[in-house]
Amino acid sequence: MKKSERHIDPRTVYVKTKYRDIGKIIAFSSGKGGVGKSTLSAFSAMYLANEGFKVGLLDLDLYGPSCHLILGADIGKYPEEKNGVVPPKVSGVYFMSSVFYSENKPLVVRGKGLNDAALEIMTITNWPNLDYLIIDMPPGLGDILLDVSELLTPKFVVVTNESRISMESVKKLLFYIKEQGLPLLGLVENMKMSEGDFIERECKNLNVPYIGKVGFYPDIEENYGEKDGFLKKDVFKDIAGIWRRIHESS
Amino acid sequence: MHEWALAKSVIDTILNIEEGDDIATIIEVVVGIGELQDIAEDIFKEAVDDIKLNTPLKNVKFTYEIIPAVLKCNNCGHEWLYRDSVDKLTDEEKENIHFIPETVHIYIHCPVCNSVDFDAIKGRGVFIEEIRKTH
Ligand SMILES: Nc1ncnc2c1ncn2[C@@H]1O[C@H](COP(=O)(O)OP(=O)(O)O)[C@@H](O)[C@H]1O
Ligand SMILES: [Mg+2]
Ligand SMILES: [Zn+2]
Repeated sequence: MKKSERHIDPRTVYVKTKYRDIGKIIAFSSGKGGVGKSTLSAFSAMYLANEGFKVGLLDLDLYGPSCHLILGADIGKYPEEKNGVVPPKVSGVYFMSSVFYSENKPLVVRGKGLNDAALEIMTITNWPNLDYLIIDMPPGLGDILLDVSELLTPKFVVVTNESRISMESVKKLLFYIKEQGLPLLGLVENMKMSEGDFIERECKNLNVPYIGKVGFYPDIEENYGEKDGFLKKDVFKDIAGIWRRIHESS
Repeated sequence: MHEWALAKSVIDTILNIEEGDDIATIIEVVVGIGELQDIAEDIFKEAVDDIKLNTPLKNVKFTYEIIPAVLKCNNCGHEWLYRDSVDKLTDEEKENIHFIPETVHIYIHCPVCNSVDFDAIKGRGVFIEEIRKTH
């Protein structure tokens, strides 16, 4: 008797094939924290759902999950179980996050554990037939970026603000994405306050599509958890503009 | 149940990594069940039996090995069994570990030095331990 394969993690191959059924997977990423990945991910998901698409939102920022706040999810209730765990529909969006299983307490864990937790969530989540899966990525270049690139091969939307310091880190992510030949939709400039065109010029130099900008709205957090409140806000128009350009270009 | 998704991942992975003709030579699959994840064994086995029926694996025998979860502290080197810490956990905490085993880091610390910096070096979750073939 021949012994062939030994000690195989069943999750990686499974996730790779299962997620191919999803229409479009889009990862909001950045080399930097605090630039608006979560805000733009969650708002984009709400926007697309409001346009009539079936949209999922996966929060993979396991050290600092925040999409539940923006959508207004009840994290005190376990998602239902049916052939996996079923993402609850919150503000029109099918939503999954580690916060459902962490009592919102800190998960302090090394890279391997972080990857394992992310892979477990991807494996057990039973998404409906989605047009879009939006992924809120953690900041930086590391464990989760590699897993998501390898397993889900999403299209990337890279987020920055107009600061040179942010752009310095964001450039490194853009370099990685381009060098690896990963699909890149382009860059969004968030919290734009000035008339300057520094980021646009940087995009030109780097040969990266500049998708557009989202203004700085000091009252942006006022309507967290209310879909209708968000839809009435000015920021909604900016999000719609971003998606108009993404739809045109892809 | 979420055991179903884990069972499906096992079957789909075997079908995916084995080439067409090779599948017919599989006689037995050994599945390791790590204690940390604490899955409902009967439900998991039933799901495997259900899912394999409509696949070329329908006559393959699945056997299961329960693997004790061993935790090892990266700070002081202490090794201990998850089993020995489990009594201190609430039902909700156990349930969270059941869904995402890494949440164990939220609820358990090293019994010697109180560090959260430990690894599950054995028995984390479901693994395909071995695929046995006729030739
Ligand atoms: N367009 C905006 N206008 C004003 N504040 C914003 C805007 N986008 C994000 N913010 C705020 O900036 C902070 C960081 O946003 P967040 O989405 O958490 O960033 P990240 O996920 O990249 O760390 C939050 O306090 C958020 O409310
Ligand atoms: Mg964030
Ligand atoms: Zn220790």
